[in-house]
Amino acid sequence: MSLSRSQTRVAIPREGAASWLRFGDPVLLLAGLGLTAFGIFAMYVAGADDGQSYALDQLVGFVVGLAVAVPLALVDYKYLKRYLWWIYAAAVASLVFVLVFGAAAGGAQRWIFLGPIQVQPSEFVKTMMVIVLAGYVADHYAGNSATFLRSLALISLPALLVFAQPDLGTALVFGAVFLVVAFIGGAKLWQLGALLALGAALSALAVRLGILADYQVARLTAFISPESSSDYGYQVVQSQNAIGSGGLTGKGLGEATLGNLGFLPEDQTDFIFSNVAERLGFVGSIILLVLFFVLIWRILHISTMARDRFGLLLAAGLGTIFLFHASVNLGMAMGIMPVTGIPLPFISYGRSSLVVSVISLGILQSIAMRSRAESSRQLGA
Amino acid sequence: MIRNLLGNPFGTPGKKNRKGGRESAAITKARMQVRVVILGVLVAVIFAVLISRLWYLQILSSDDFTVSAEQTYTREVKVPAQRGMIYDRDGEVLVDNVPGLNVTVVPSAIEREKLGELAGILEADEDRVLGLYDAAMESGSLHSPILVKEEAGRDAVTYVSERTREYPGLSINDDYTRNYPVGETAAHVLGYTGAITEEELAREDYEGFDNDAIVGKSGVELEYESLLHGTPGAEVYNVDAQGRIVGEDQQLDAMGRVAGGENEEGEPPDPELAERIEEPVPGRDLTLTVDLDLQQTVEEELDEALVRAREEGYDGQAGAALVMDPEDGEVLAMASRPDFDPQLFVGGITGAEEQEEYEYLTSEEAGSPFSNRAVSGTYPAASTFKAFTGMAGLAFDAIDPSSTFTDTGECWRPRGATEGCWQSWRQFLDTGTNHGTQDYEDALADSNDKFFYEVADLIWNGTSDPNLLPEFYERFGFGQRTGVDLGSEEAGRVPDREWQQEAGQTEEDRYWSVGRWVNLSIGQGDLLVTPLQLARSYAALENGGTLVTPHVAREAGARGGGDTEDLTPEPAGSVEFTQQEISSTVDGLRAVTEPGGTAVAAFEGSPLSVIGKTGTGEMGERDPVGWFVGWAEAQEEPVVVLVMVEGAGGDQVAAPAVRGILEARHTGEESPGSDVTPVPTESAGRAAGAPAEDNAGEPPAAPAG
Repeated sequence: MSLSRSQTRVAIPREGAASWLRFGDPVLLLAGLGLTAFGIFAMYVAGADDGQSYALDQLVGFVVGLAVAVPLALVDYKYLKRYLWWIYAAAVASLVFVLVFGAAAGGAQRWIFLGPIQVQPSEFVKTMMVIVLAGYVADHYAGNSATFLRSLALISLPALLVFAQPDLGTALVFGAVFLVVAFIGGAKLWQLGALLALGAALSALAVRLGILADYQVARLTAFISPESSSDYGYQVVQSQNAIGSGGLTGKGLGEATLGNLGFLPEDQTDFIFSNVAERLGFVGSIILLVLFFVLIWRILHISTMARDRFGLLLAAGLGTIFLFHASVNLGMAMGIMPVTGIPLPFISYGRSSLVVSVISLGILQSIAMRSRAESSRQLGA
Repeated sequence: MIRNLLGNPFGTPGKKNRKGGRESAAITKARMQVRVVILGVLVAVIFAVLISRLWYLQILSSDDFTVSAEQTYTREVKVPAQRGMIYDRDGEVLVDNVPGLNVTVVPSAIEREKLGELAGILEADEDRVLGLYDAAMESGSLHSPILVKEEAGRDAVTYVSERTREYPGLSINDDYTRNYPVGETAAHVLGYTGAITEEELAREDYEGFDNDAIVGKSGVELEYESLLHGTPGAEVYNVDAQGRIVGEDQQLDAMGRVAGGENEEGEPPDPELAERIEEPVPGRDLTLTVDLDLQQTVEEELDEALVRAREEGYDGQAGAALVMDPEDGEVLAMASRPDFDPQLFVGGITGAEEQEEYEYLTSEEAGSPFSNRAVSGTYPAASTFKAFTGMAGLAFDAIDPSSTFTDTGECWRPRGATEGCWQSWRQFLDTGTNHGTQDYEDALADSNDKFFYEVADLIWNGTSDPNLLPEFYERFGFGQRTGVDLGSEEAGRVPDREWQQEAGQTEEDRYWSVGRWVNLSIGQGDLLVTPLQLARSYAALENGGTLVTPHVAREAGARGGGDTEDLTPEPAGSVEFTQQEISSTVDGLRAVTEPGGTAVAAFEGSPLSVIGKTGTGEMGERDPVGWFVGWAEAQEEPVVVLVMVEGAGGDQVAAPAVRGILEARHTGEESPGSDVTPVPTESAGRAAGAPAEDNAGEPPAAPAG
């Protein structure tokens, strides 16, 4: 698995697409399909009377995602690296476009309209930035402080643009992605430590100077003492009430729940898990958790099996997005993480998020296929 | 090893790791893979935490969260429960309920200031309401409604219901309010009701009561609270976050009242939509031993007695009367003056008129109208006590029925005393007469003080036990509560040596001597009895020695069948005496109402043969207290009747009232009332002076001397 050998193999002429396909990762495929199905089912349940249309929306998201993901899986991911700067430019441009022309909802400017379709560019930018960062760090030793700072600067621009929407949760995703990619790319622990310390200092300063709005601070701290802080505390309390009252087997699909009676805030998006957990109980919730675990575990497995540094970093970065979203969202619903308002991949209502998740899986399959192809070729050679 | 695998994470960047001239060579792919594995460990830890948390929420704490969730999405509409009715012994209604409007408010929904304002508009007791509010805020039971106003007026209800936005959390409920159709009659027995206070809520026996409960405050309303109190039911509805009942476009506020929209009056929700219904449990009915007709007679007679007292120049504002079945202690009637109307308290003290009345009733001038003097008033028993002194003399062989004592007008002194002068009423009232030579029977009839001084002195000299006489009195239940089922009963007091030593202020005062006994013998000194105690002791004379437990409640449960519970208590004990002791005492008491007796005028021409005793108790500086207690002989259903008037004599004020009550009871006729010819008797001017409150070891300074 040396660098030189893999580089030479890439040059081998491609065979038919069908023969690549069988080298994909079936476990990842099943976990992805399982989560998508769970998500569509969740929409059907959570949407109450409108459940069908919500479920259909998600299904459309899945199909759209698939339409992009399948070609991406078939095409060698190395081509992505050729367009790194184009991708970066597109990401930043879309975020600037949102800030200037975007549609506001709930106090934040996050969406743009492409004809009749509402798109949330920041969802796409997350994945795009993983590609950019992985591509850069693959060729530059992250332990080198100059490289470290350059890659930090690279990701800071879109992160700040997202933060300005404002969307603190997504901005934090960029931070997590950077930490993981830089770490795997060889960054020293003191570099990462210094970065975290700087981040903490800046956060404190931001609170002091009022750059973080009061509501953002309130949200972040609500989970510590939910009873004392009014609105966000209410969300946290109701979310735990919903999950806890689900018990072992849940209240069932037709019963009155905090979710369908409107006591759960954002019951189809941020707090979808609470809604589902209330109806399906521990049994249903644990299935969902296991699906996520398998998904992320498998992504990391693909990362270790990747053909090259780029593939390795790319898979780890994409895995980080899923990990961060799942753990922060589930932790928030269960009252052990701040309320940051980031969706649960595959499950929360939102087509942009689902499309991006499916596309990510396509890229990951591409990485998996090339590593398998690689090893089988080696065996066969 | 790790350092090696991680690619020297602590190393100086860029030098040692430089291998092929390219920066990227600084970390090998193998080391990157190791770092991915480290990330994998982190993932495992994160999921372990998430699953533990899920386990905690859904398995370990599920029950708590289920309760909490249910509270969130259900609303209760209270279904009122009727408080138990109270009947007299024949089923006449004494207390019932009428439909009324109660105004409640949910503490969490309204500000303190607004609530005070609301209380003002509804003429409710602002202090009580705000007290409940503060208690609710402190205890955290913010969502349980508190009662602002019971039996709110229509106008006020209309006013506030048009301003539900201004007074959030407000709710107007159909409920029952207490009704006292007989007004002031038997008010002290029945008691009254009112909104529960925060102190009561904190009490153990009121556990589980709602914040807006109506509870008894005195009388049987209080004594039988747990029995009379109903448990309100509830219709529980599932509502959404906007308060709409599920499946119906109806909105309930936090309290359960249909709110908002055009429908300001608040139509109740359709019970068919309720998720579940908790049926209210009405309170149990109570049947008293009281006979309403007799009660009314007793009240009238007592009032007339007070009029007579005032005509004689006494204060005549206060008194008590009671009729008791001597066999089992059933109280057939009990009245106390001054009195009050329990209806005053229904719905709280509302309006200028009620406020004025309440202020008067609680003023000093009113003379404690809420106090039931029959059970909580304590007075010297005076001459009514002579019967027990006589019984003691016979029991301790100090005298026999034929023993005589001759009064020549000389001062009486205990044996061995050289100073002091005890006289009887014939001397210090300046009647110009003496008692002459009288035996026990004559002495009772003529209420001969000196005869009973002599009895006490003889017993004193025949024993070494300084408490022998006080303890004899205690056998008849004096000095102890009777155990009547009415609150605030007093025990009274029979002074003995130990009490004297404790209570005495000076050395002299602490000394227990024959003089104390002598004063006790005529029911004076430091003796205090309640009217009920005295009636019970006479009942023991009537029934052959059973010390009954007086009571006013007879039966709990629905009238006319069903699940009833007998509330009759066991007797408290018994007193032993010989046939000779009782018959000579009864003979003496009969002679009281016969020619030569102190109460002959009051009972002249009565068809009944009445056995009883007058008494005029000295109250120091205050007006004396007048007694008559007794029963009519040879009746199928005898009753002991007692009338006590504060500030009057016993024979002309109290005795005619007892006659009236006995005749109404046994002959069904109205009494001749106050139609009594005054003759100089024991009570006629005792206020002027008497054996003064005793002085230890020294004979009281007799007014005659």
